[in-house]
Order: sequence, then structure tokens, then C-alpha cells
Amino acid sequence: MTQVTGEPTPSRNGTSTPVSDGEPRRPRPLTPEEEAQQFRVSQGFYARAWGKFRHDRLSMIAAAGIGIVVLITLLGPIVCEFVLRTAPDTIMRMPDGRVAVLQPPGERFLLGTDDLGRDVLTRLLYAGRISLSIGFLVAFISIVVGTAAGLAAGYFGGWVDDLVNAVIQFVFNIPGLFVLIILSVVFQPDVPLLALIFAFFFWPGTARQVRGVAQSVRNLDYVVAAQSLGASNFRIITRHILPNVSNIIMVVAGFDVGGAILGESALSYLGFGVRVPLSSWGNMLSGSIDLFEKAPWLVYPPGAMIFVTVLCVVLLADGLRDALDPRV
Amino acid sequence: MTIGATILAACNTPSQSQSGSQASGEPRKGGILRVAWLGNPPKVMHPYPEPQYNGESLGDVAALFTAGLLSFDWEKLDYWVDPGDAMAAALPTVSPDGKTFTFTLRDNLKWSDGQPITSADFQFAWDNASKEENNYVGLDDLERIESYRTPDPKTIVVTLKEPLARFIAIATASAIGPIPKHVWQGKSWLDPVANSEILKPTVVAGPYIPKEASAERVTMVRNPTFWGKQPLLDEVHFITASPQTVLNLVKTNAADWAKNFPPAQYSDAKRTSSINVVEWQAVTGQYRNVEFNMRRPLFADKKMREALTHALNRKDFIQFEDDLAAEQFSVITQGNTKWVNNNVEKYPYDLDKAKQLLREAGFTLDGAVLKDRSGQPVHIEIIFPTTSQPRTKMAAYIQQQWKSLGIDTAVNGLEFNTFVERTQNRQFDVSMGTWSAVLDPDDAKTWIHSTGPQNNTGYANPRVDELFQQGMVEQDDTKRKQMYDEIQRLLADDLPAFYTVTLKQFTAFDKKVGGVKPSKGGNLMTTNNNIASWYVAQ
Amino acid sequence: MHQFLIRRLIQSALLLWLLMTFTFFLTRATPGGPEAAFLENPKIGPEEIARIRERFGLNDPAPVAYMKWLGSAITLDFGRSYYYLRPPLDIIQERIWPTVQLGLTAYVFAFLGIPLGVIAAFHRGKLPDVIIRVFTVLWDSMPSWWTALVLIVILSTTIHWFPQGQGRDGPISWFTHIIIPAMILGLGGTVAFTRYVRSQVLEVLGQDYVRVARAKGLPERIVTTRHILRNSLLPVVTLMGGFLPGLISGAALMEGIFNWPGMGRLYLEAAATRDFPLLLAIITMLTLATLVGMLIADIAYGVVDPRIRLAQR
Repeated sequence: MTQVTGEPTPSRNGTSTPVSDGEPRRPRPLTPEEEAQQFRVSQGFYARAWGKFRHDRLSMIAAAGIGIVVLITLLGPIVCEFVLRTAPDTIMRMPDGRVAVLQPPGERFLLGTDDLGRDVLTRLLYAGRISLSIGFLVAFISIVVGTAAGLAAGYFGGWVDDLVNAVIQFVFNIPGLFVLIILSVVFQPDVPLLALIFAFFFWPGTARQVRGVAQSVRNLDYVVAAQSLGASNFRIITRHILPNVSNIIMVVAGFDVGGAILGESALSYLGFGVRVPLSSWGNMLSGSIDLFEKAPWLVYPPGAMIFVTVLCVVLLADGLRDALDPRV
Repeated sequence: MTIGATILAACNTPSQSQSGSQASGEPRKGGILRVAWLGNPPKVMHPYPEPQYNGESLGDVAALFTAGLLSFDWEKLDYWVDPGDAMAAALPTVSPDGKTFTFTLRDNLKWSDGQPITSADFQFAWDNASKEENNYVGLDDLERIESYRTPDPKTIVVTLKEPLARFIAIATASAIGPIPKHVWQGKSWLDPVANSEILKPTVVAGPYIPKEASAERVTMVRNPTFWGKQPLLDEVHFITASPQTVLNLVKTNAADWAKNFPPAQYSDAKRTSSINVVEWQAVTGQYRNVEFNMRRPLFADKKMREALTHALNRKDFIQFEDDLAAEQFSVITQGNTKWVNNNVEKYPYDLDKAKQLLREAGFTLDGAVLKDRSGQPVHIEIIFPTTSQPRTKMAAYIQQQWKSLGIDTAVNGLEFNTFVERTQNRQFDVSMGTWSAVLDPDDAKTWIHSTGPQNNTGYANPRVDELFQQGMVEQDDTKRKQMYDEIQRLLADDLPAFYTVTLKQFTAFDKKVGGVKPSKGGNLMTTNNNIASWYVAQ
Repeated sequence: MHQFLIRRLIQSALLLWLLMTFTFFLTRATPGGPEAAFLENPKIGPEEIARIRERFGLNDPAPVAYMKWLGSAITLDFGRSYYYLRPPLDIIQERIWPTVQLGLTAYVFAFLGIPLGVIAAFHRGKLPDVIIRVFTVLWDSMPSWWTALVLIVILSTTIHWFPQGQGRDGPISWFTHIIIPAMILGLGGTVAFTRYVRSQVLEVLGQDYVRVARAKGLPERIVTTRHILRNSLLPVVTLMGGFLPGLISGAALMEGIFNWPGMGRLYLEAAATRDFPLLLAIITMLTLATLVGMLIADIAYGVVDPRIRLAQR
């Protein structure tokens, strides 16, 4: 997918003064209304994209969904701590002194309790922070590293391109699962480190996409013009190439967030990933499958949260991709 | 029942069951029993395995294709001779000094290829298994044997280095089972590539012959020339399964016996009408404890350990095991009714007493933080393997309880190999242990003798060591009992570890399976000495 | 063409060597060596551990062990597995065919994405497109291991059967046993293909030469096959190679759940038990297979797309 230009397209509608008498007419000054109209019409790429996006119902719903999820995970723990006064690690007890193990959802525990007597709702909200942090962190690191590498490879070409390609190939071929497991064991990673390790496997994908776009943009006229004008490489990359690449970055970021959240749940299923007693949606889900028949309220909430979050993120990314597609 | 199989059974038995199954249907000859295993099939089928591939699955399979000198009665918990499966004609005769045991082989013993089984096969097995470089997992026990001779084809004479307690002596003396010399002679003992019998034996002494062994299943078929009682079942198949699917296999009639399955699915299994769930307390079940690293200065004062112990409620632990557990107070479990001593210090749950003990030990509560004499906050790290869901839960629970004492407790879930490494290297504060219980209390040396190979706590009580030494050679069982009672008392008093619960064994049969008799032992496959009478009804 | 081939071969060999070295030293760095697993047995103590370490050559300093291992690995001799005691290649050979079956079948599923993508592009904005897009998005949002387990529960409660292991009683049994794990494994690829093909076809549809072809009066069928499809499907070839590494690790999860006797499970087992010779052998062979696969895909793309071929000069 190539982005053609970032410059505003000259207006074609608006007032056109007929040429007469063979004389070139000097353009008269525009009235305020005409001026406003001209700017409105020559909106440029992003405004148009936003317009498209706004009308794509699915994407708007997805955006709203993400917003709600983020809001819940940000505010939820605060509400739990100060209003409800519950904590994710507290082992709750029944009036008779026994631990409140596997209580179904009810008055006292809105989403029930888990096999250690902890309130599921509270855990779910705190876990959301972990899962979303992983998702966004991974996407962020992957974008930063991948874009830098992709831009360098696509713009400079030559040996830089070869080097970056070689590194990409190398990382692609690393047996991911094994290394993830080994790194989890060696470093006992906390959330940031885990995100870093995940991002290590995500960035080549980003880099590849960015490289492709950068390569095709590099040969366009205005870039060549800027080069011949003596603009520094840095200026060219940041002013001309980066904006063109930003679309693909946004789309990739979306898929990275989704991929990271799902990947973390797979890792927890294998016994690694976010370490207990810290809870993430992934390890809440994988830790509860054995109890599916006995306590389904342990399975549906984290599963639903993962599903909704990833779904919204992916829909958003899809919608962005379509909105930013200049051919459509 | 050979000591080999007993060792194999004692090593790795997460779920063993005892209790009959009310089968629907009549006993019949024929049929296939399909057993669903958790975990991996045996990688090699060596009757004398090295430690790295020894495991429950090998024990199950070996129970079917090997046979031993003596039988073991899991009801009386003693050795005897069942002509249906024992190769000795009778219990051995013992020399007056108690060191030499003489076995006479039965008539008509045959290998599955028709060749007779003679004492030369036993001699061949001993000569190889006792070599250190052959790394036999049970080498420690064999080292008690001074000499192993076979003066004639029907006689085996075993002399021990010293006169041991009767049970241990017979177990040791009968430990060796035969290897077909005419097949193995000249071939490598350890290398499965050079000796294909190691991978899959073709000539066996037991009631079943392995037919197929792959990554997903092992099949055993009837040995037509078996010298003992011909079993009812024609074939036994073992299928591997994951924890989420093992019970489903029995539910959907793809298997007849879910040997181990996750405790969380217990109630679901009980509710299923086609399934018989059997559960009970086994002698060689598993138990859990909380081990203190005695080398850490924090745990030097018993009052500290005692306080930590009083803050934990065994009843809560039982709840976390889905009520499939019983309280345990020392290294001998409740199931081992012969040797267990319940007259020991139990340290009941008492949070106030815990706090008081801490004060007495010189710790002060500064706000919500417990500080030692020098004003440093107390910090404890609990380690456990993440592969164990129950221990993960219990670590979180312990963390909570100790936090209420003001102690900053961290839980650290480690990957299994890392966990083992750290406990072996004694790099931990508190470790959550799960161990297999022992048949004979002498085996408890492993953990509480000062030189025990798995003595993670670093416990060293010279009196305990001395008692173990005495108990090993004591012939009078009443006196033996007193010695081990005292060991348990001392152990509870010294509190190097807090013993929490014994796990109940449970397993699930399809109702078609019948003939399963109760067994106090673990693993039904290896300790239910009537596999010959099992059947699968139509 | 030859130059390209030689360059790629050298690159691949270099990459393989780098990866082998990387994983070798990674295995050395992990805590908890293989001897830890033996300690489950209460009879094992420090002397037995020392003996075992000596036997496995774990006491050699890393560079020495590395040279030894590399030397024999080049001749495809990976030593002996710690747990199986047999040459790793033998064990791999036993397990590879089921994984290949699973992988290929999953691959076939992935190709379903091509017609789906084409349909979605041709009916952009209308019902078929929406349905396909919704489906792809839904599938992408669920963890595959979760879907597999749910499917098993559904199957066992409804038709009282679920696939376990390989089907051995004839082709129908083989099919019923492989279809579900392969489907779960492959649908991730289907989704990716669908998306990619859809965007490629959309791009081509907007191109001038398609309009020209139609304006010329060519029958729609010819326009579709010769112009649209051929041009949009070529880039799909590039996507084909990229699936291989993901297929193997995805297979590892599926094989565990469905009791498939394949290499993915072996891989996990070797990692968990620190069976270094086996692990290194698996990784080496997997990398080799991936590199060969990507090389073939790149060659195919080079052959098929004249732009690339010309760019090589």
C-alpha cells in the first residue's frame, strides 16, 4: 500500500474564473466565505481519512469499546481501593470462618470468588492494568524499534538495508516459543521486561512493513527534489518519509496490541508469562480452565475482557487501515 | 512384587487409589483396558532404569512386563508368595545371623520366548545393575548387599552387609528381578541404540508383552507363555492426555481409566453417571510441607519458626486442596497407620500465640512492620514451582497470613527445574515441598537424616540420626515402632519443616471396569496385586 | 539468477550458524540443568548429580563444549538425548511426519483465505465483505488454545467424541482426527491471507490497466483471471514463507491439547526438561527447514514476478 503524497491537493472546485480576451487574468482576492470554502475543500489526506473513519460504524464502536476498557482498567482499581475497599490478594472468608473458596456470583461477591477465596471482580480490574500495559508497551517498543530500523533500511538502502534484513531474518527464524520460555526462566521477568521480550519478536514485522513503504516513497519526486536541494537525511526522513509511513504504523500497532495480549495468555497457559501472584487476564483465564465445569464465573470474565479488548483493537486497526487507504 | 517396582511406585505417584469399583457386568476373559495417562510415555523400557527416565509411566508399564521373586500384600503391608505372580517357591530362608537369605525358584518358570528362567538370569541382572557406572536408580538399596550368588539354577543366595530390620532386609534381598541373559548377553546395558531390548523388550517374564510404543500410546498384549496366573484382560493400552482432556476421554468412552486427573475436576467426575470415582488415603501417597532453611539466621530461633507455624491453619490448606486431603503432623502420613505417630506437637492455628512468640523472641511490631532486635524489618521469600497449582495457591495464602504478623513476605514462583536447583543448593528461605510418603520409615532418612540427599532444610539432630541407625537393624517390630515414634516426636519438636496435609488419592474408572480390589498402596497399576482379575465388561 | 541463489545460500548458511550458536549459549545460560529433573527421585543426591553432569559433559567449559558440539552437528551427529538416550535425529524422525501432516493440512486451510479475500474485495462494503471481515476479526480475537479447549468440551458433550491423537483406522478416521487441530492451527493463516489478498485485490481493482481492459470490451472472466487475479495473487507468494516458524510453535500448543504425537510437543518437552542435545537438534533442523522454505518462496517469487527478476540485475 503506497501513500502518494502528503501535500494538500490543489482545489479543483470552487470558483473558476473563465479566461477571456486571451489575457491571463490575475486572481482576485477571495471573499472570506470563499477562503473558508477553499480550505475546507482542500482538506488534505488526514481530514478526509477522519471523515471516512467517523462514518465507519464498526470502527467507531471499536474505538468506543477501547475507550471504555481503558477507562475501566484505569479507574477500576482506584474504585476498589478507596470506595469498595477490596484488594486483589485478600483471601475472603465466610461468616463461619472458612475460606470463601469458589463462591458463585452473588450479593457479596459480584463476580464470585476464585479457588483461593479472592474476589474475582477486583482481580479482574487490577489484572486489566497488567494486560493492557503489556499490550501497549509491546506495541510501543515494536513501533519505535521497528520504525527506526525500517526507515533506515528503506531510505538508505545498500548495506544498511542488508544488515537490517539480516537481523530481521535472524529474529524471524529464532524459535520463538523456546526462547520465550528460556528467557522467562532466566530473567523471571516482571511486566516491563516481559513486554520487552515480547516486543523483541514483534518488531521485525513492523520493520518489514515500514521498510516497504519507505522504499517506495524514497524514489518519489519530491523526496528527490528535497535531496537535491541539500536537505539533510534526517530532515528528509522526518519531514517527508515518516508521515507517509505513519499510516502503516498505526495499523501495525493495533495488531501488535492484540497479538501481545493473546500471546501473553498462551504463555500463561504453558506456565510462563506474568508471574503469580500478579494476575493478568491471560493467567486468570489459563488458570481457570480446569475449573470450567465447577466455576464458570472464573472463566467468562477474563475471557470476555480479552476477547472484547482484542476485538476492538483489531477492528480499530482494520478500520484505520481502510480509512487511511488512499485508493478507496 | 519386586522392590524395583516398589521403588518405582514410591517415587512418582501423584494419584494412587484404593477401593473397589462397583462394576456393571460380569468378569470375562478378553477385552482391552485403555488407561489415560497424564504426562509422557516412558522413553525406554529398562527394568533397571537410570534416574532421568525413571517415572510413573515406566513403573506402570514395567509392572505389566516384569515379575518379581516375591509378592507384596498391600492390605497387610508385608511380603508373601502368590503363585500367580511370584517367582520364588516360598519366602526365603534366613540364616541364623540374619544376613543371608536363600531363595528357591519355582518350577516351570519361562520367558515369553519359551526359554526357562533360571538363577543365571538373576545373576546376570545383579552383575550389571550393581555396577556404579550403570546408574541404576535403586543402587543405594543394592549397596546394602554384600554378595549375590547363584550356586545352582534354582537357588539364589543373597548376603547383606549387616543384619537389617526384617522388612528392609527382605525388600533388599528380593530387589533383583531377572533379565533374559540369553538375549542380553554381550549387548550394551545402557545404550538403546545398541540394544533394542532397552527400547522395547521382546522377551519378558511378566504377564504382558509390549507391542507398540510411540509418543501417544503404549500397547501391551498378553504373554501366552506366562508361568503365573493368566490375566483376564487380553491387552492393556496406555494413552497420553493433557490435564484438560484426560477425564473427557473416559466420558466419551475413548478410555476406561483416567489414572490421574486434576482435583478441580473431581466433583465433575463424581457427577458423571458412567464413571466410578474411587478415593482414599494411601500409605505411599503424597504430602506437603513448608520447609524452613535452617541455615538462615532468621530461622535459627525456634520461636520464630513456631510463630510462623502457628499463623497457618491446616484446615485452610485442606480447603485449598478441594477437601481431598487430611491433616498431617510429621513425615509419616496418616495413611501409614502402622508407623504414624500422632502423639506429637501439632502447632494448632493460633494467631495470638504467634504474635506472642515473636515478641518473646525479641521482634517488635513497628506499626505494621515486624522488626528484629537491630531494627531491621523482617523479610521472607517463599519459593515454589509454578507447575503446581496447589502450591501456587498456598504460597499466596501463607504470604497473607505472615503479612498479618507484619512480615514482609515475597512469593517467588519458579520454573520446576529452577526450583529444584535452588532447593538443592539451599538458596531459599522457605520452600513449599511436596513429597511421596514412605512405605518403611527407614526411607524417611532421605529428608531428615543429617546426610539425607534431599534434606533441604539442613536439619541435623544427632539423636535422630542415631535412632535411624538403630531402627535400620532392629529385628523386633515393637521396638522399631518406638524408635520411629521418637523420631517423629523429635522432628515435630525441632520443627525444621511444618507438615501440613496428606493428599487423598483418587482416580476415575469407567463403570465397565471391574475386579479392582482395594489397595492401601499407591499406583493401582503397580500396587494392586490382582491385575490378573481385572476385566472390562461388555 | 545464479548470483542471487548463491548470495541467498551463503546468507542462509550464515544465519543458520548464528542461530545455532545463539541457542547453544542460551541453553548454557539457563538455570536448572537437566539434573534437576532427576531430583524427583528421593534417592538421588549430590554424588549422583555430579556423576550425571560428568556423563553429559556439562562440566566442560562453554567454548569447549560448543566446539565439540558444532563439530559433530555439521555432520548431523547431535550426540545423544539425555532422556531418550538415542540420537536426536532418530527421535525427530519418528515425530516429524505427524507434525508435517498437521502443518500441511493447516496450510491448506490457510489457502482458503485466498478465495475469501477475493470475494471480500469484489463485494466491498456489501454483505459478503462484512461477514468475512467480522469472521476474521472474531477469530483473531480469541486465543487459539482457548478455542481448542472449548471445542473439545462442546464436542464431548454433544456428539460424545473428540479427536485425540492420530486416526489410525483408515483414511476417514485419519481425516476426522486431523481436521480440527489443523483447522484451529490454520485459521490464523486463513485470516492473514484473507486480509492480505483483500487489500491486494482492492489495489489492483483501482489500477488503470483494469479499467482499460474493461473499456476494451474484454469479457469479465478474462479481466478477472488474467489481469486482476494474476497481479494481486503474486505477492501472496511472499506471505507463504513467513508462516513456517509460527506454524511450528502453534503446533506445539495444539499437539499438547490433542495428544498429537508430533515434534511440537517434543520441542516443549525438551525445553522443559533441559534435554540440550535434543533441543539443539530440533532448533537446528527447524531453522534449516524454515530457511529452505523461505528460500524456495523467494525463488518462486523471483521467478514469477518479472519486476523482481529485473531488479536483480
